[in-house]
Amino acid sequence: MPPRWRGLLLTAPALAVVAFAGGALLLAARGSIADGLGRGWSLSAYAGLLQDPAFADSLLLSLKIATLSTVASAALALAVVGAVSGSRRGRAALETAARATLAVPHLLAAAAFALLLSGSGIISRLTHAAGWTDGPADFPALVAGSTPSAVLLTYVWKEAPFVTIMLLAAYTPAVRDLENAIRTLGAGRLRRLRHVTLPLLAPALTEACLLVFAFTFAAYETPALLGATVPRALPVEAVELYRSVELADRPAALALAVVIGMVIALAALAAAAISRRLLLARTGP
Amino acid sequence: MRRALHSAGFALLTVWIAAPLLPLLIWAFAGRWVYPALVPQDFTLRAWDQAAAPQQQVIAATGTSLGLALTTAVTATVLGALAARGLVLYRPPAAGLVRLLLLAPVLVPPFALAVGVQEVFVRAGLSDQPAGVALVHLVPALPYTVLVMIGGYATYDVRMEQTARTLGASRSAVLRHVTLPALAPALLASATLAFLVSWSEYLMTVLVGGGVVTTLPLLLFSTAAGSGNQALTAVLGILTVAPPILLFGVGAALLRRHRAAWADAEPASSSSSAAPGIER
Repeated sequence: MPPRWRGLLLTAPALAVVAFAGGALLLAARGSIADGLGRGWSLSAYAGLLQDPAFADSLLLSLKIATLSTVASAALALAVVGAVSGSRRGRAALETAARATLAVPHLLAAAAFALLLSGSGIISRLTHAAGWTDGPADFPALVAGSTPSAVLLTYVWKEAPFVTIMLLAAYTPAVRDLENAIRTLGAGRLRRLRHVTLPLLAPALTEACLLVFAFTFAAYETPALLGATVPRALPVEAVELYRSVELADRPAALALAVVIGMVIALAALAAAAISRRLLLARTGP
Repeated sequence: MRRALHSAGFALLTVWIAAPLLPLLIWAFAGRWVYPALVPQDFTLRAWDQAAAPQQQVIAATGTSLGLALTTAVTATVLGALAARGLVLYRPPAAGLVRLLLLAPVLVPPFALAVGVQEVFVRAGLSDQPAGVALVHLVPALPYTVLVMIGGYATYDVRMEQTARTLGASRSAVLRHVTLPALAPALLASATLAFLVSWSEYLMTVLVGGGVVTTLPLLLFSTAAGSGNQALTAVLGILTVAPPILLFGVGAALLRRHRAAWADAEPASSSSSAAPGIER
């Protein structure tokens, strides 16, 4: 066997796992255009979603959660990486801290933020002791309130370190050399950031943003623990429908799975387009 | 001025990490802690006793979690190492496409994957079984191990294997004395990540395990969501977070020793330093 084909053979076991996942996704999509028993063909699940105002609310909420978490995590990570860029010790400390948060499972972060931010949580006790609030009811409803504040805080706490690590990995000595070069040419901090640091870190930032968006859009645990019951985030809504005993809810749940997958696919396409433009801008056509 | 800024930065980082985790530590040992007290009225080990009681299934669930995570770590690392070897050393046709396919599962929504897998498993009789859950955990773990092992093989010199073979070493001797030691940092990083992915998994375990396969995250979720027992939530939280942090710490220490031992042979192994970055 020629060695090139041998290489493909070595990837076969891993590809088999991906094929298994792909087949599973296809079966889920197939179930969304069938009746409750998985037979026949029908688009009624999608028609039902379009008529249901709760679906639009859930979709908007999930888009809001994912977009805000992504933007906030990216901004925070950029600011922090920019702040420590000059110091080696600072970078090392930042990397250690970021890794420590990465090791914390999302579910645990959500449970911990519930203890911290709920009406009788630690922060509420602190504001009471400081005389700012009168009791649990007086404390802003961060958990399960009308705005998903606790969900967003948990996501930023988990994802900003993730983006930070991706950025630090792209922050190579070559980037630092270019920064030093433009500094000796007399550029200030802001111009350095705009013309050197940001363009060179942009590919890693795009990649990190896509991963954060895809994760926060599709994740269940955090909005299930910390979110409100109306409207529910899309994945929470989907799981509730899937567990329902009504036969007609099953295709609806699978249709939600397809919608979640579509949104993430669109985000991936957008990220790919951005990456290509970034590459073109750097190397020329 | 600079010193002060530095200390302020370190203090901020510490507060950032400790803010959500410190309350867990206090709650785990709190007896009565009624609002608005800032510290518990009394301290007790009751929640730990509760967690140790057999009817709470905590010990059994920890065992299941460990078994699943170790299985995932080993399987995903082996598959990732094989795939990376094929992609990097042999440059097969369509290598770019294969790489993309292998990394794609990182974007797959867990709910969609779980319900699809459930359809497959119901037909194959694998539903509600640990083996099925382990297979599902493999999917999100694989992209990380592939990526890390591609990094590991990028700095790997296959001529060392050929030299050892020429000198009369058997295939297994080459694997044991050349390949594995040279790839050790990447293998360790990849196994750590795969362990973490499986250890943290909640939704797919619930849906595919059908409530029969009980892991630590399942107990943590149900306690945090419904019981109002903050002390037990905190204990389960500590049990959930301790192994990953321990693993990362031990992994980092091992890598440092390995690097010191290999310092003359390879000046810098970048594969391991980039690795844990991609975990989520």
